[in-house]
Amino acid sequence: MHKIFFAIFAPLLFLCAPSFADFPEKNVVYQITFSPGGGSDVRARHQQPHLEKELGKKVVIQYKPGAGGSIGWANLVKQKADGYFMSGINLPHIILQPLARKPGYQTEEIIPVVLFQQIPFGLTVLQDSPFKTLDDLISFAKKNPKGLTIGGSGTWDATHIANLQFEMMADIETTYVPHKGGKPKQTSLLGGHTMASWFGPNEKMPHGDKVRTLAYATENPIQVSPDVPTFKSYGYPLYSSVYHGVGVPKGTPEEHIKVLEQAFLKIADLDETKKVKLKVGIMPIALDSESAQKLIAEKKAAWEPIVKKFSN
Amino acid sequence: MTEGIINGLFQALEGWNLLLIIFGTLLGIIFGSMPGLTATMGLALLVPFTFGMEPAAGLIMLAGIYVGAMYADAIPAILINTPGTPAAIATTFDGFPLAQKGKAQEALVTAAFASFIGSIVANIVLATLAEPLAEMSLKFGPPEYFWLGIFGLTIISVLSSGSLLKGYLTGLLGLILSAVGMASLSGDVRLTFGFPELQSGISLAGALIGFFCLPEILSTIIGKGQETYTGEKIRPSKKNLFDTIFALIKMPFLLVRSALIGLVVGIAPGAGGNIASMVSYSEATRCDKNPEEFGKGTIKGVAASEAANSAMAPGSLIPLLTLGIPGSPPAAIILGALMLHGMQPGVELFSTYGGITYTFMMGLFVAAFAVLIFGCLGSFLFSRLITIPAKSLAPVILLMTVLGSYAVRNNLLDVWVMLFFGGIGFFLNKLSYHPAPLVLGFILGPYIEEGLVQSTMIGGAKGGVVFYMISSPISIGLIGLCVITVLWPILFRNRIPKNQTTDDQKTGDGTINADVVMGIITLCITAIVAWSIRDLSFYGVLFVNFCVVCMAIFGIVIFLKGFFSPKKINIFDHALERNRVISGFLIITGFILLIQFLGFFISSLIFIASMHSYLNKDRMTARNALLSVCQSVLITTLAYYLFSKLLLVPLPTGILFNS
Repeated sequence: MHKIFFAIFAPLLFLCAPSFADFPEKNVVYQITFSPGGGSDVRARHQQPHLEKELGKKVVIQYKPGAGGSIGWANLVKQKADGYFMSGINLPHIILQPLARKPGYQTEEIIPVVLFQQIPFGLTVLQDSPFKTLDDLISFAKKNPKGLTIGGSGTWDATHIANLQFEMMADIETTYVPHKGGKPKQTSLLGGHTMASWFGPNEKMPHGDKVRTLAYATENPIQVSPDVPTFKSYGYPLYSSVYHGVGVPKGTPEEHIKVLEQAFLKIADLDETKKVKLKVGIMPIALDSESAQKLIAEKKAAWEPIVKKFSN
Repeated sequence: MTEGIINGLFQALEGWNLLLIIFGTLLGIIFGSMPGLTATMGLALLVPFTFGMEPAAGLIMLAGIYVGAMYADAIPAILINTPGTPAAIATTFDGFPLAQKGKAQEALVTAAFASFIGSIVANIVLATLAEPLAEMSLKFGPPEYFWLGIFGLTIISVLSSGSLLKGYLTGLLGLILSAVGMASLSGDVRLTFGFPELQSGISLAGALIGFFCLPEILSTIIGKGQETYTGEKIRPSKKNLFDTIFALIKMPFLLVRSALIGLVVGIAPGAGGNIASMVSYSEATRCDKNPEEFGKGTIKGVAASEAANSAMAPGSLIPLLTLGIPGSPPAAIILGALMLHGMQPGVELFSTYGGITYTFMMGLFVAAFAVLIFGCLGSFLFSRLITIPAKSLAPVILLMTVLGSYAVRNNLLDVWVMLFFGGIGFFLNKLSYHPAPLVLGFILGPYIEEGLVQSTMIGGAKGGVVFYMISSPISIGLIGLCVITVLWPILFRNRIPKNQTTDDQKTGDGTINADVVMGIITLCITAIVAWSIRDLSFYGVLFVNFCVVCMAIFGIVIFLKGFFSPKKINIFDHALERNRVISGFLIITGFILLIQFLGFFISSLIFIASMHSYLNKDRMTARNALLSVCQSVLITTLAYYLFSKLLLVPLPTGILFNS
């Protein structure tokens, strides 16, 4: 009788005290908020075998694409906050979407686990463009208000905000032309339909010598193109990048976040990971959960007034 | 380069690689032929496996999948009037009537042979002219996209010359549907009626399945109680096979022209794929001596559509390989696979990775031969599928429609949308409105809108929007094509196919004045749309306003037409049919509702068993009941494993079981 009693209650004891249990005990879902085969997917596929090794469990990749990622993030915040469901996150998307519309989630409902790569934007023109430096471009814009067309990846995304900030800093007016994502933006510039465009180094690379970047919106010249100056060096403190990482729903236990964070940081630290990223023009970084949360809070404070000012 | 091509060909024909191509092609045929499974899903499924392979080996397997799927989407289009992928819409126009006449095998062989020719022609161009063509594709700016979209819309006048008014009205409805969700450029949220999930818009797969597949099942199988999909006997034979191929060889002009159209339309990044076959179909109708044959079941129609959509595949790879810009969703996955192997498309691909690139291109070439062989052999098997009793086949197809519309974005709302469109499609069919113009409008809407918005922005910066939109040579050429296509049915009234896709035969003794009803519905929709977009930004409503104005005009015209020359029709022939359709629709609705509570597995078991019993006209015996149960267990388990375990689709578990 005692034995039966014990057999029933012993497992219950474990249920009562999940903190004693090792995390993870079952497969972890890694949600991709964009279509299969895209950049987010390829990245997750690279991480998958390493993650499985680190966590000791299978990592299942699931897709929930749509509306610039917001369908997936709205799905993320609806999941049980136990660490078994994580999702790829993109900055500034998860900050700007809730500011500009009602995407079905709030920025604060997503806790970043880690940010592992950064893609800075630079103002890029065709090789034979008359704009040889950033100053050439600015003086053209000053002489032709709204006459300079600058392409970007969308409305209320990183490139759009960068363009608005650039206009304010340089005191110019341009015509910002949004596109349906990064690829059409590239063809627009290559075909000469826009005069300049916000390109990441990874977007510039495939086109070789056909395009030139005038300046990058970073603190220091970037590792993959050290010769290109920064906006800062021209006197405009403009910083604009897309960051990629992983997040979990708010309320996920600290210690579970820690486990996932350590696994991702370890992968980010591998030489192979860095080499693969740099080769295609992406900057490897390794921001832990705390620094990522700080970065999000900072960016949100900086962008909220801009979105408020220019929408409506 | 010639050396590269020859080396590539040898590489592709090498034992292990050849096996991979054949395996890929077979898999592509499976994914293309099931409505709901797409080439994109098949490619995404296999990309991780290519990680461990040699880059060339992995890529040619993907080539096989792409080519196989581009042929196989014709199979369901021919057999059950459901395009396997959007690119096969035009294949249904003649393929399905052929199958209904008992000529399913002829249609299937035509699809295989035309796909083969389309692939070969396009591959030759890809191998020789990739770079200049890529340069040409860059010339496509916002105005060119706008006019390409408008040109695509004008095809409606050829597709539905039976009733231009109806065709254009459904096209406009399609344009409005395409505006649902987040505006891709301005970011405005439109017409979502408070559902955040609708921000991603209506899924094309859901709309296609809803408009093509469901109405057919509702009206013939459920409503009329037909026992098989086709009333005619189907007898596949070797004679049929060779006769069809000889007939096709006698029309090289049609095949090559269709292939070139598919290729050219496929190159324009993003725009082409889905409409290539419709452009080619309308050109075939226009150039033929007997245009009245089209739409009633001619192999010429199937050949025009399939040659174009198979040529589109290599076409969409041209901007991918040369510029790193994928021309279609499957091409985007191939880009992902290239990146996985650290290969950056663009300038380096033909130099640094030349060997792999040429092997890949030759892989496409070899896969075209595999398609021809499998297609001809398979025609014996596939054509027999529709002789399976409808009571067994229809529940499976219905299950696939639900799964397919769900799995594209793993979103249950898409399934409801599919069902909703199925209901609407049913009534539109009964009122002699063809779904093709609607889907055409739905596909082209985003390109027209983006072209219009960006042209307005860039033209504004250049100081003249109208001048910017009509000044480039390509724009002028496209405008010319638009004018010719619109005027064609009016100028050559004697040459147009009569009653081709829609007909006004049903006149007389009904109770509903169809035109008046449609006019009122159109005006209601117009009012709702106009009201719900009142607060959006200028660029967010530019395109919608344009549609609203056109819809209002068409709504009034069709209302007046119905008012002054009333044509009364009946939706159902008799009360029994009405009751059957309604109860059939309710069973499907109940199934989707159940999924939310009981999860996919249990609901499917219940659904298949009940649908099977409902369609079964024999007396309900213990043996029949057991058969129903066995069938439902077998099919559900198969579907469950395929989607959940193999494709890793997170199937709904239901509220009750969601711990």
